[in-house]
Amino acid sequence: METLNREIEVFNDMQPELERDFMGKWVVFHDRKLVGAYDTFALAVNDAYEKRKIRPCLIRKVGQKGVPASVRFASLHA
Amino acid sequence: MLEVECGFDSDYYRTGQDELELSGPTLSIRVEQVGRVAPAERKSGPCDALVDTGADKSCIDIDLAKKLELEICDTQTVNGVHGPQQTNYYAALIDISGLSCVRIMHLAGLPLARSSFPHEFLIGRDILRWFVLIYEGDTGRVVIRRRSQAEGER
Repeated sequence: METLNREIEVFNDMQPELERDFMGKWVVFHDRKLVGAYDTFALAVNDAYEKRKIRPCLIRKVGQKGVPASVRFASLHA
Repeated sequence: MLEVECGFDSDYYRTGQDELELSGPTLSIRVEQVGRVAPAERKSGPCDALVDTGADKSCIDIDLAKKLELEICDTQTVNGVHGPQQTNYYAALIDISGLSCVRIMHLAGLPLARSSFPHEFLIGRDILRWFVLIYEGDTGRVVIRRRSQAEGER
């Protein structure tokens, strides 16, 4: 989890430029570097886990809010 | 066209209408690891999934995710009804066999079992976006359909 938190720090530092260049794309971060940007989550997973064999790595959609799934678990900030 | 039933028939004790109201549309799916090991060695397991049109995102019970050793691909703090909580996100292969649907999905981990929630998985709108859902509350019948290519599968 510590590794993932380091990648999240880099993601947060780069967020303005990620939102400028890759809004709506899925991005992969590994070893504190942006590995790539992808149109779908499946493409990001295939490239990161299957092709490059990098894990743990952060896979996050640019612009996605951290909202929960359902009215049952409704977010206060949705 | 492929379709699966995920509602309830009436029996001696309860009508399908009552059971559907109580339990919600329920579907059996398989969840499998991605990426960690060779396909033949990947952990997978069946689970009962609630079809939840109120969920924008599909969710998995965190204990099931741990048991299947799903890969954590993100973690975020979410402000939910129980206050802020750390939520892990998992990458997993979802197999809905009756619909010939196998997809890699991004799943939020929630303490469903620990909250006495009767399902281990919530099928949200991120999965339902590929199907047709017919909900007959007055009979207890619910059908999920996948259009064929000839019918304009999306």
